[in-house]
Amino acid sequence: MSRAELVSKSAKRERTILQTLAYIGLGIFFLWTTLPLLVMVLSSMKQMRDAFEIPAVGDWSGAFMKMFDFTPTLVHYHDLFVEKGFSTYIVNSVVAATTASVISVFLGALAAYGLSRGRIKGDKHLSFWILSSRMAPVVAVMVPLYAIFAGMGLLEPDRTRNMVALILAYTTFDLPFAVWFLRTFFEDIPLGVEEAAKLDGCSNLQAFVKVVLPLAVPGIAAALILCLVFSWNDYMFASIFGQQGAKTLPVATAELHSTVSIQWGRIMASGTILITPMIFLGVLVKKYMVQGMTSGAVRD
Amino acid sequence: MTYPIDETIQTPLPADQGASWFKGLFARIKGALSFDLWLMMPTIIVLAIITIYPFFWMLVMSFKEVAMDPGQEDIWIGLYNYIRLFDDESFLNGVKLLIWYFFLCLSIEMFLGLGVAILVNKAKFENFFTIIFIMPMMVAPIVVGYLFRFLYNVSFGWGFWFLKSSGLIAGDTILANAQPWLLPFMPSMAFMAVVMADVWEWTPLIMLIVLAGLKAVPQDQLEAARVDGAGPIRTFFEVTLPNIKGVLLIALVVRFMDNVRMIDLIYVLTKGGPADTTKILPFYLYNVSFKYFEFGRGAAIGFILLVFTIIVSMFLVNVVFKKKETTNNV
Repeated sequence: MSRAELVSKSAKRERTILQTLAYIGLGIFFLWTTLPLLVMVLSSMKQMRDAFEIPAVGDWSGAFMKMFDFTPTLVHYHDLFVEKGFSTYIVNSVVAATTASVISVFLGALAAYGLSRGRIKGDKHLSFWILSSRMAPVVAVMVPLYAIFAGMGLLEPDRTRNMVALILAYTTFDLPFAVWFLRTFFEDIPLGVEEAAKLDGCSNLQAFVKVVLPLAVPGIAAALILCLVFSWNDYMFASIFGQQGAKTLPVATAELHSTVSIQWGRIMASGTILITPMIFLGVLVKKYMVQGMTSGAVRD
Repeated sequence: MTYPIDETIQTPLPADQGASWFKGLFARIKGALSFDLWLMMPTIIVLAIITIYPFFWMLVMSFKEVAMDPGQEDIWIGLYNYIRLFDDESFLNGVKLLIWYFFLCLSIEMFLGLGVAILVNKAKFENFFTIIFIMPMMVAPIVVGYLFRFLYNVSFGWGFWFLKSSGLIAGDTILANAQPWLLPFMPSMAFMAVVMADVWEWTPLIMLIVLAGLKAVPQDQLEAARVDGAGPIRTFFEVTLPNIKGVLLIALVVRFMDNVRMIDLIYVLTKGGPADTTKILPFYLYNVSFKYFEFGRGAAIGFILLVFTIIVSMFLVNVVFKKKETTNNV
């Protein structure tokens, strides 16, 4: 046997061992990711006495029984909708998040296209400024925004006014995101495409709307969905600006936790309601997730 | 001699015809900016209102003692809001904890994320695993907070039960009593509890980013390493790692920016307690502004935080986006 064969044989054995270890590692990370979610979903369907049952310390074998042995109930969900009026909060969440996303993606697409063609002087500075507005700590932005909104009368306890405040607040992080995310999509569309359209007699605007925009539809859809996720998940802005008139789902969830008690069953139920649609959307845009979360710095 | 001027501007203005005078005005306005800039205008205006105005508002506010009661006047106090931060123990504590927070979150997430990405890259059901692993990212931070608070509970938390059963904590509460050998690696157990919740939610992001990087490692280089008889470990250090350096840096920047931005998790999980052990700077800022309503002092802290983030990110973004052109044509 030659030396090269020996080496490749040991490399082969190394490979099998590593592969086994790899699947064990993946299994552990799989459990670490899913078990907390499983506990949440199961606890939302348990009576409180069942939800508070955990095995004795060190009783590994009893754990499975304690987790799955219960009679499922939808009482917490029922309470949320009937007693707590959660349907209103869901509507608030959907309206605020959708409107902010649509506005942001619409304006963002225009700006992103303008930036992507590289015909603007100082576009680097411009785009860094746009990104930097998304880096600001939420709390730091909140005080000045509070003053502005109060001045505009948007913080009166009134649903429409609060909703407008919320939508504006969400735009502060959705719009810069949309610009940065969509810019990379437009950059990928070759200049030749629109130049051909212009030779055929299209104006700048027509070339953009009729030729470039349709090519960017997947990116626009992905941007819309990711903006939706960001706005839907926001708590800090919603708790300050929408508290009175336009309570959103995260704020309503936090209110189930008062100084007197934490209503765990309802919180778990409300958490499940909050995350289910978002996970669904997340899977839908899985392909664009990396690009989205890195503002276009990494492309898949 | 002709000058390269936009034709629309050269249109002569017949002063005696109203309609075409308007047309000319319109053309002038249109010609004042390029088409690209016109498209950008709405965004620039909106962002100016919601970013530049608050920025200056914050700057001015930070030089004032803001009146608490209506009818009182704000008092101009110059740099006092900044100077007194040096005597403010909570502020200094917040800075220290913020640095700890970066260090722990980023190092654990980078290490884990890199590991899992490598495993997923080689695994059979890659698509399935990625779908499962991106779920935590979609969960609202506030829900992560409640979920982990539930899991950490001493009397009914599954997480507490697990930590206790596996011997990682010695005492009867999760907030104190880490095993002594763990102590040099963290400010407190409560702090670690917050970090772990952050790790749960955001490790998948690092994983996804690194995974995209791994896909872009040139196949011929990997092939060459294999032909030379290099095992997987050597291949990783000599071929893969140099190729994904740029992507790792991007992952770092993205997490860094979000770590300062968001405090939802701490707000739900610990509210900065017990005894200020988890009151990182952004959360202290929240307290100053929205609990003590000291807007002037809050503005000073916010301003410092903002400038700090922008400087660090500017540096990192420059490094990253320069790198992008050369190394990262993913």
